[in-house]
Amino acid sequence: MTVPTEKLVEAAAREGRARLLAILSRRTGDLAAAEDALQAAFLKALESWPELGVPRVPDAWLLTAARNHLTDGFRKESVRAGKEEAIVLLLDELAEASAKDGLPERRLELLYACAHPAIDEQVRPQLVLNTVLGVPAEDIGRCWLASKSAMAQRLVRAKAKIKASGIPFAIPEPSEREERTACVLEAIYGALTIGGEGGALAEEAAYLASLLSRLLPNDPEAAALRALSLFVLAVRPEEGEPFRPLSERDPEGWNSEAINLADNILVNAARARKPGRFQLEAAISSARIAQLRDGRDTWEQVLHLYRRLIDLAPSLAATCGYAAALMEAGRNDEAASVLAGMDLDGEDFPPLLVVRAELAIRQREPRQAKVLLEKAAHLRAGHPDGAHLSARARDLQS
Amino acid sequence: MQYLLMIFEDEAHMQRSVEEKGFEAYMAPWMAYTEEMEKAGVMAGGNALEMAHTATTVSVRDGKRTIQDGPFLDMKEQLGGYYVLDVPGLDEAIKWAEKCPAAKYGHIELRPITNFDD
Repeated sequence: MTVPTEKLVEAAAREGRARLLAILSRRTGDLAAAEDALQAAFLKALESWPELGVPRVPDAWLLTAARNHLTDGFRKESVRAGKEEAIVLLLDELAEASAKDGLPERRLELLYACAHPAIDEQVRPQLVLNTVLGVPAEDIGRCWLASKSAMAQRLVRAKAKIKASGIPFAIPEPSEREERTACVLEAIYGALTIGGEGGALAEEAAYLASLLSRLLPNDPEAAALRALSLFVLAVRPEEGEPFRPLSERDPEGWNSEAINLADNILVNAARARKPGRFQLEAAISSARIAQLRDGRDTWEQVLHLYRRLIDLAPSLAATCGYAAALMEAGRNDEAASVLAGMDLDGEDFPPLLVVRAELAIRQREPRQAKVLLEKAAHLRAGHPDGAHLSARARDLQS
Repeated sequence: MQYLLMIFEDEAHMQRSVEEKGFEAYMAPWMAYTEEMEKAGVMAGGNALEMAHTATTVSVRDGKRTIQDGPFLDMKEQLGGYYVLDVPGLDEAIKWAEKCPAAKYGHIELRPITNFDD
C-alpha cells in the first residue's frame, strides 16, 4: 500500500506546480524568484516527506517552504523591510487559508502575464510552456530550433522583463480582455503547431488548451482551441512513424473518441454565436477529418470556412491553407490566382513555399517545385515535416 | 512604479502641424493630456524638449573630451519630450501612452525607472 514518496512529490509537483507558481509570482511580481522558491520547496519535500510522512495538505506545506526560501533570498539581497514583510504576511495567510479551503486559482493571471503583448510574440508560447507546464528550456529549444542555452537565455530575459517592467499578474479589465485573451490563445496555438502538426510539444499545448477552456468556460474561442488541439492529437502519426500530410494518413489509426468529443465541443461553442478565428480553424479541421474518415465530400464547406477565416483573421497561413484546399478540390486555376494575388513578403514562410511547389507540380514545372521544396525543407530541418519535404524534393526530377 | 514616457515624433511633421493649425491649436491636446494626468495623480514630472538639432553630445575617451553638435542617434523620429509616470504597473502605463497625442503619428516608449530601494 505504500506509494513511494518520490512519486507523491512528483504528483504534487505536476498537479500543484502551476497553481503554486501562479500564487507566488503574483505576490512577488518576480517569476524567476517564484520558480526558484518553488523548486527549493519541492527539493525540501523530497528530503523531508520520506522521514516525516506526507503532510495533510501538501500545497500548504509547499507554499510555506517556498515562502521560507523567498525570505532567505530577501535577507541576502537586503530587500526593503516593508515589502518583504508584506509578501511574507500574505503568503502566511494564504498557507493558512489553503490548509482549510485549498489554494486560490491564479493560473489564469499567470497565463495573462506570460502572454502579455509587451513580451516578444515568439517568446510568449515558450514562456507559457516553461512556466505553466514546467517544460524544460532544452525541450522547448528543440522545437524552436534553438540551443538549450539560447532558449534558457531568452526565457530568463522574458522573466526579467516581466519583473522590471511591471507586467501585472492580473486578469485584464473587461475592455482589454478580448485582445489579451487572444494573445493567450495565440501563444497556446503557437505551442500546438510549432513542431508541425502534432509535434513534440503538442500534448503539453493540448493540456494548456484544456486548462484554459476550464478557466474560461464561457469563451467559445478557448473551447475551439481545445477542440483544435484534440483534432491535432487524434490524427497525428503514431510515435516513431514518419510524418505524412493529413490527406496521406490512414484514418483507421485515428482516435475517433477524441474526434467526436472535439466535434461536440465545437457545436457547443458555436451556440454562443460569436464566431472567431479558432472556431473557424477547428471547423476546417473537423470538415477535413470528416472528409478523410467518413468519405464525405465537404470541399465546399472547407473552402467556405477558409474564405470566412481570411475575412475575419487574415493571415499568410490562412491564405496558404485556402490555396492548398483549392488544389486538393481540383480547382487549380483558382489556386493559381489566389497565389498570384499574394504579397511575396512571406517568401520564406514554409507553408507558402509548399503550396507554391504544389502548384508548380500541377502546372508541370517540376524544376521550380523542387527548388521551392528544397528551400522549405531547409527551413523546416529538424522538424518532423522537414524530412518529408526533402524526400519529396528528392523525388522530383530536376 | 515609475516609468519614463518618451515621445518620439517626426519634427517635420510637428512643424507642419504647428504651421497648419497654429501653435495654440497644436498645443491644446497636449495641455488636455497633461491636465488629465495631473488630475489622475499619475504625473511625477515631464517636459517638452527643444528640437533635436539643438542637442549637444558629449563623450570622454582616454581622458579626452569630445563634443559633437546634434543628437547621439540621428533618427527620423526624435525624442521631443517626456513625462514621468507614477502608476501601479505596465498596463496603466500603456493606457497613458495610448492617450498621448503623439501616439497617433509618432511612437511612445515606456521605460521603467530603476528603484534602488527595492
